[in-house]
Amino acid sequence: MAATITPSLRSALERLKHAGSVNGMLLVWRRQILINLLPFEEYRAERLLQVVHDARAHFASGGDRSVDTFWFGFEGVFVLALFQGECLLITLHTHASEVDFLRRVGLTFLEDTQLLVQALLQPSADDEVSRDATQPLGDLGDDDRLPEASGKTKIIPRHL
Amino acid sequence: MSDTEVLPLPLQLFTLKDGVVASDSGQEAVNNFAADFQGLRHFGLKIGECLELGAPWMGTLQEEDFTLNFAYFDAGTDPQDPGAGALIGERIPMFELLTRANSLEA
Repeated sequence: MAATITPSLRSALERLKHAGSVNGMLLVWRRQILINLLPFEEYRAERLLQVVHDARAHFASGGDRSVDTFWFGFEGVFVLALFQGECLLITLHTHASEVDFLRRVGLTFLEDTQLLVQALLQPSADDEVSRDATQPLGDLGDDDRLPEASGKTKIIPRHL
Repeated sequence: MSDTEVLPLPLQLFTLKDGVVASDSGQEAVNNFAADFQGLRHFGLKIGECLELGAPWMGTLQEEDFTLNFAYFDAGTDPQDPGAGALIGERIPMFELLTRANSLEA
């Protein structure tokens, strides 16, 4: 079952889905679906990620091999699977010539969204309390003077 | 170059015909390619099954310093159908290697 997704991670993947001839994407952490933008039912997406993980395990079983990319061509569609760290990004696209471009942007996406994925998997406790303990910002007075700070302010001398 | 440095595998080409893998690169290379080809095709079939896409006509796997692919020609995607494959001991553009394998059809 897919987890609740922060809008920014989903919107980032949806932007990527508009690159090239992409017609479906699946973002996975370990064996957990984070975002499913495939034109298939959830159970098919789950079977797909199991097969791709099994394929990687198969090639790793003989020694120290580590396959990080699979690319398959079917009638009218290609399936590109990219592993990076504990994440897996699967892309469905229609033009073979775009595969290397899609591989690069996919890896960049996985690189740039590490913090978003981490925040999704391990929500910070601060996220809950910070909304309760707030401090309204007051208006500045007529003289536009800032309120006094609680600590000492260090004056940095200006050298002319 | 130091003594411990190993040269990457050069580009090796393979043909698929009547369920047999053949190459000028030697028996060991043929055996290694055949093992990877069968594994790759097997999982391609599994992906095709779960998405109802049929059998794959091509497949590629890539590691940090290795790229391997296979591609069937227009005749079909059964094990007996003609096709080709390639491998190289470096990460190269996958479309380029697919083009190279497809060129063996001519």
